[in-house]
Amino acid sequence: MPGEKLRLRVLTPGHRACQGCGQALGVRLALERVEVPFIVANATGCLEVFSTAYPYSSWAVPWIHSLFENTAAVASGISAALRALGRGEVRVIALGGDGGTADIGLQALSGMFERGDDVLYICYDNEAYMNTGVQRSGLTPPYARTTTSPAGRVRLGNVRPKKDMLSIAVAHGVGYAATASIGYPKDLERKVQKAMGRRGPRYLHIHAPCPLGWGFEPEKTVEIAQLAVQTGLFPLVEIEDGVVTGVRKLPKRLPVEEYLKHQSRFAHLFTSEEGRKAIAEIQAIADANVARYGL
Amino acid sequence: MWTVLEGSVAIAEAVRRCRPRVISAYPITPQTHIVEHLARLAADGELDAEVVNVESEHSAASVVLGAVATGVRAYTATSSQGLLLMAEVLYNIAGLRLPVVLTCANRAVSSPINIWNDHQDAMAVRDSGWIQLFAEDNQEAVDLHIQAYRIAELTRLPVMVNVDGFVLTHAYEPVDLPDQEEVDAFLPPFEPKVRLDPDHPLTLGMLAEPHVYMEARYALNEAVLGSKEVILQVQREFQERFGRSSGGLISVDAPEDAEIVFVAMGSVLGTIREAAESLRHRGIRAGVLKVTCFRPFPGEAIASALRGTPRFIVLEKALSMGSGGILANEMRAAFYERDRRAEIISVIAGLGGRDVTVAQIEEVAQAVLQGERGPVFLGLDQRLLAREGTS
Amino acid sequence: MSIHEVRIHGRGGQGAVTAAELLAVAAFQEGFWVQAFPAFGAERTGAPVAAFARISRERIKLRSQVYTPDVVLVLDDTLLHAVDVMSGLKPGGVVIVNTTGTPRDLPLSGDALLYSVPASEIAEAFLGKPIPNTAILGAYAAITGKVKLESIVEAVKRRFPGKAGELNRQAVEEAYRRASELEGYRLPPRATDEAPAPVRPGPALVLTEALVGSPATSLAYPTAGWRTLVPVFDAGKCTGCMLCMVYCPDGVVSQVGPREFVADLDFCKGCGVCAAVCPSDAIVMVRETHRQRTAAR
Repeated sequence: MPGEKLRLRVLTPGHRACQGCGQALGVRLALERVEVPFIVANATGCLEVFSTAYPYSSWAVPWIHSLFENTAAVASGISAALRALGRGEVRVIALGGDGGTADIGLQALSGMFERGDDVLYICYDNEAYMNTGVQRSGLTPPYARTTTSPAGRVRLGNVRPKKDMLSIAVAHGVGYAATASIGYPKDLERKVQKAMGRRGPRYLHIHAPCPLGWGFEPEKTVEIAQLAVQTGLFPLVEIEDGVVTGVRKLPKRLPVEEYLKHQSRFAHLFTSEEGRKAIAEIQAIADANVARYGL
Repeated sequence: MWTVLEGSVAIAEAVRRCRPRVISAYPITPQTHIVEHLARLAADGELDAEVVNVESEHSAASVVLGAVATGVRAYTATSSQGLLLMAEVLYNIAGLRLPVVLTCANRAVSSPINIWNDHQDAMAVRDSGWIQLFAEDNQEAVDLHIQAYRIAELTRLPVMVNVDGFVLTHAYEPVDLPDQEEVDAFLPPFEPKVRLDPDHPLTLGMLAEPHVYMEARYALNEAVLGSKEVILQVQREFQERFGRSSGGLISVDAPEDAEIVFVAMGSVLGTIREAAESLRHRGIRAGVLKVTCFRPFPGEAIASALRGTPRFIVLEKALSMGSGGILANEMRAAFYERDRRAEIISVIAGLGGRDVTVAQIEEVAQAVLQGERGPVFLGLDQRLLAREGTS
Repeated sequence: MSIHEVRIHGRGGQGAVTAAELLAVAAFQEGFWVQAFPAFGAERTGAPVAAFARISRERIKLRSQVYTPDVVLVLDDTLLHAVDVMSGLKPGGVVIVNTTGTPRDLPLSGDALLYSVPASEIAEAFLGKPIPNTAILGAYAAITGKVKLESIVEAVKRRFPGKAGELNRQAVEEAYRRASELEGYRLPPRATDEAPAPVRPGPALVLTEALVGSPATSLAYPTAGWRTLVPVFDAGKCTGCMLCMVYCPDGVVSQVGPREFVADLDFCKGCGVCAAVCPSDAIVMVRETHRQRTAAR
């Protein structure tokens, strides 16, 4: 069966991800079609927890989990060891969530970028600390409700914008940096192929909705991911050697409400005048993305 | 070959002869000279190793973790705050059973900030699952590093070689550096069965739920306890090949009928030996018990040594805040478990580079013989404490 | 000291922990000392989970887990195939299952009285959502008499202020009313050779150095028990676009013909993504009752 070989290549079933998990889907889409041998270094987080409860491993490729914030450094060590062993044909892929990448792991990631280590770092962005129960991260979007940025009588959830990880990667001189979404598998797979065609540090930022943390029914994972792109809130772009070389255009852009209304983390925005102002601000962010990248 | 070398350079030359393929460290005084020398060797093509300059000690430890997990020998070094920053990774390395070798150029911990020598850094990570060895002089520092790789790879446990910052790392003294061929014969190539390899994909660092975590930690403890035999075996092999006795668990230099014996770790032992000799000249039967290996703790060896000795002065450069001398307390537990009675007097000395002199040690011995039971904080400036209003 | 112990089986997201908390709060209002806690695990939304409540006239000092409950509440009848809900139940104990089925059809045996209550159906009717965790407490009050209906209602209203509390009150009272009319069904004795359903099937647990895992061993950990819905593929409508296979988060959909796809029912968690992405409506998600599950095996 054509699907059979693929499915057993990287992440096998029997893992304990939630129903409709965007991250589990993201791993499949990103890694199943990588043809060259590779080693995975995985940060602490949902993915590590749901795929490796001893003695059941869902990994069919060599895989290591060390800690939360050191994944980029562990990947650097693997890369250095492979150089020492003369095994240049084996590649290194690091996986981390938004917290493990943009917050606690940013320092080690910066070191990995700056040293030019030969690692593809993939961030699975589900916009909060889901493994610990939906707490705000540096990649939580504005006005999203999390357990540590709740929507209350005087505050409308998270007040800060998403940290711009793509620009941070590019500012380090990373040769290939791109965003992708589980809602666009062909685009995602193409970007992984492109990244694997290069050497040195590379960065791929994958938007991966979380039914539990965002508050939508599990079957809507793909739809929600697509809506984030179609509203301009999560632009799909790729930047090679500092130059924007690929942008997914949005000829029929949707208003941000179409994305927000499906998710209980934004439900509080639809019940007050302040909420409507916040939606207008979120729309302005989408508009700015469109202007910035020419979506 | 005998040469006069700075301690750091001697250590680096020993490490070089162990052929690490990945070296990663972050600058911190007084460890830096070691990795500077290794970096220079690599830059000159005299050492075939990847030198990974990282942005923190946390990442230095993580890089060597990743490298050893991929199947190559690796090396890192640090001190003080660097070791504390590594703490989380150190536990992880031990739990993953990765034979990393690390030099700790022992230094005080902050606050207050202080760059000088004591053992508070190493003691802070004593429960991590690392083997911890302490060097008395630069020759032993050289020898322990060569032994460390052998021990680590036989036991699949990480080894921390503790070398007193400045006192040893920055001191020039003669050392006998073994030839590369001799080291190669002593230390076979590193070929671990468990490693990250696409030809044999394994999963490392899995989640252990309550039904298996405790067994895993029990097994690690058993491995660390069991490493005592390996440490002794490697000591014997080393002596056979190099003709020197270094390493092991403990060593005793005391008269059979010693009435007072000093117990200590690291470079302060040299000064203690001078004091013991001086005391013997004055008719006091004094001796020295050196603890080379602090983890695994050689409780059995210590408690069965010098059975006739009625009192021990445990002089250590660390303390557990709110409890006391760590080595002293572990020694008391070892004695109690074996129903051995002796007086164990705890002396905290040399914190933050405070010098320890022969005269002070002799004075303590005299005081103990006259009934002082401690704990003693050696050389405390009582006038300063009074002025501070906390005496 | 006599402690009344309750074990609540549910799925991640069904509110088993909340049910335990509400039960504890209700009993506390009546002057009991109480304790409620979840069984912590790595399983996620949909996975079988458990929560516990202890109720006693005296202060409860015990901190160990609950091994021999007096009462077992089951929030979802599909769990009966995934978990041994009878495990450790005291002889003569009570099992309350949220199901629309009748007691004698449920695959249970042992020395216990079984009650079936359509808690999801009641919740659906009053709350508009099939969340059974409050309604089943009404049934618990009626069947065990351990706590009063008013105490459950009070606890529920405190936890869910406003309209939600009022609707929950109605659901609790309806479940109480219906359960009051039930006779307990005495389960057939468990055959001595009847092994309990394995909770952790697969290879024996072996301690390796540093707990090194072998590749793809999770294939010995079926997650079928997480499922309440099952995808049904209509080959007649299928266009062979493969989106169901591409988008399955668990990678359990395979192509078996040009326009024919199947889900591996040992692992399918029933998330419904395949049906949602299917452009030709060739996949529908249907509720998998315990009887269908039994027939499928």
